[in-house]
Amino acid sequence: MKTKIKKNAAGDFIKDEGVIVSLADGVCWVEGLEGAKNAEIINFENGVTGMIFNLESERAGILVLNDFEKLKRNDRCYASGNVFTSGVGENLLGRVINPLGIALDSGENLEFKQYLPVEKIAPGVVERQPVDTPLQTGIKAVDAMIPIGRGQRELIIGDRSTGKTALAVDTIINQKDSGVISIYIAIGQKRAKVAQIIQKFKDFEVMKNTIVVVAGASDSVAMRYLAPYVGCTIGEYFMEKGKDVLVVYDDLSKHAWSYREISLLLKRPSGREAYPGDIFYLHSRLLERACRLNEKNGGGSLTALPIIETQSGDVSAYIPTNVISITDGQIYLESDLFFSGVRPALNVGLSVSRVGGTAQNKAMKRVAGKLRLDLSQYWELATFAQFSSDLDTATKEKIERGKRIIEILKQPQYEPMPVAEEIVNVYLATSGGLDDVKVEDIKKVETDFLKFMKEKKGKIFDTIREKKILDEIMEKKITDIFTDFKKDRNFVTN
Amino acid sequence: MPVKINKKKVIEINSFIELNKSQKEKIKKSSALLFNVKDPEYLFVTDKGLISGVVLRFGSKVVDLSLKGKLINL
Repeated sequence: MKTKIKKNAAGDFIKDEGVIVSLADGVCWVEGLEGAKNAEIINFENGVTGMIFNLESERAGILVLNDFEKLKRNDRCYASGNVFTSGVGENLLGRVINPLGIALDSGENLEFKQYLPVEKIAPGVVERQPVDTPLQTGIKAVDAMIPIGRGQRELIIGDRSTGKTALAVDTIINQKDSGVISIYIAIGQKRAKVAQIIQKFKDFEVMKNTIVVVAGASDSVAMRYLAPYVGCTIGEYFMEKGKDVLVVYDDLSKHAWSYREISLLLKRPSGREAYPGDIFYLHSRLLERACRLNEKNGGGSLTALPIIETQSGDVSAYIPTNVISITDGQIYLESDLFFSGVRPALNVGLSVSRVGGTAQNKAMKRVAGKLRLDLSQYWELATFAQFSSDLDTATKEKIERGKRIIEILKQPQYEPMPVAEEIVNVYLATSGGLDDVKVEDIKKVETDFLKFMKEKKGKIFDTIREKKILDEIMEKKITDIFTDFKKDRNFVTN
Repeated sequence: MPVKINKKKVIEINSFIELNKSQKEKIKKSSALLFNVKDPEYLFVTDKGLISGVVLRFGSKVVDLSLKGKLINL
């Protein structure tokens, strides 16, 4: 026993040492480190830190996490015995950090009481429960047609400047009073853009329940690679405490690029589009961590909104198809729609939510049931109508209805809508209430009517919000109020 | 100097001064126990860069008991 204690005490002095034999572009090769483990943190003599990525018989490939320029050949390094961990805690709320947990805002330095490994196996089936609570995005088109549930993974996909980030930011803004903690992870983005987003969060007072993890375009490849895992780990900390968390990965295309960069630098064999063989696992292990835990495990949830940028609308590229197959649905944003003024530029035909339907608000489900069909019919008939001047009444009606639905689903940025107002809006469009209103008047009617309802008939909104149902009596009430409203304000065309 | 992976069981003992026979015997015993190796070979090296003390190496495992190492850690 005495010998054992002595040995343990002495063992603390034993360090596993290695020495740099070559280094370039944020990675280095080290000889020695005989006892090193995969993903182990390596400390260099001059305070630089690295993470083992490749373990070979004679050497190890190390991803340098900070101050790469301080390293030189023959520098010594030591294995720490620990894997990469991220500091977690309530003090992160309202802060902007980098993946190493260093504050990037003007606030005080962060100190953590708890650290969690960033790589973790996702909760198993036994610990989970089905997605059954909606996560309101505040965007009419999404909440009505592609409902997202808490614990779901919904991909936001589209070309550059189609409103992908705007949609995610609006969703975060809509969580202001919902009790959901939001984590926005910026991967490989311009710092100016990130600063604008943070400013918006501050303007809408959502920063108090939001955490921003930034690995910008100028940050090292290691930071960009680690950012989503760090964000997810922070999210899991809150989820395990029984809270609902929303994590936005903006975007995973750039994350895949950073992993490709690392893999090529470490001379791993490349495959399709020069991505390494395990690029699917890179994203599947990350997104699999999104879940809704059962009551026994606290009942918290982690909803993931990954973003993927396509090139010229090509959803059949490698990374988009991978992430589409991993997630529980996608919101496809189209540039043609965006530039024709339909914003959010949602392509209803290609967008889907595989599990959100069960979580959708019952009142919304009732009024939005016909919405997708009406819209799909409109797009089909609108193309057909361009070639034919003589249309029968039914077709004309469908086209007119479609035009009005499109107008009502248009929504400016940074104006997420409370669910009760969304329901009333969608009800007016699908019930034909707007059929006798001029298309160009729709926006004004919508704004004025909601204002009128809030001022004079606020109780209806309260009932929908609380009871989450819209029965026939309530529907009739809304229709009557709207009919009178239209007449009073001369919005009716005939 | 690069650390080579030690295929043979050799414990390298770097010391600031040259050790006498009894010191060598003492350090041999304790280093074998420390690294948990049976019947290793020993290689004694003098290194004036250590300032003071001793550094033991077995493969990539290092026990740095030199003043230089302590100063670096400071």
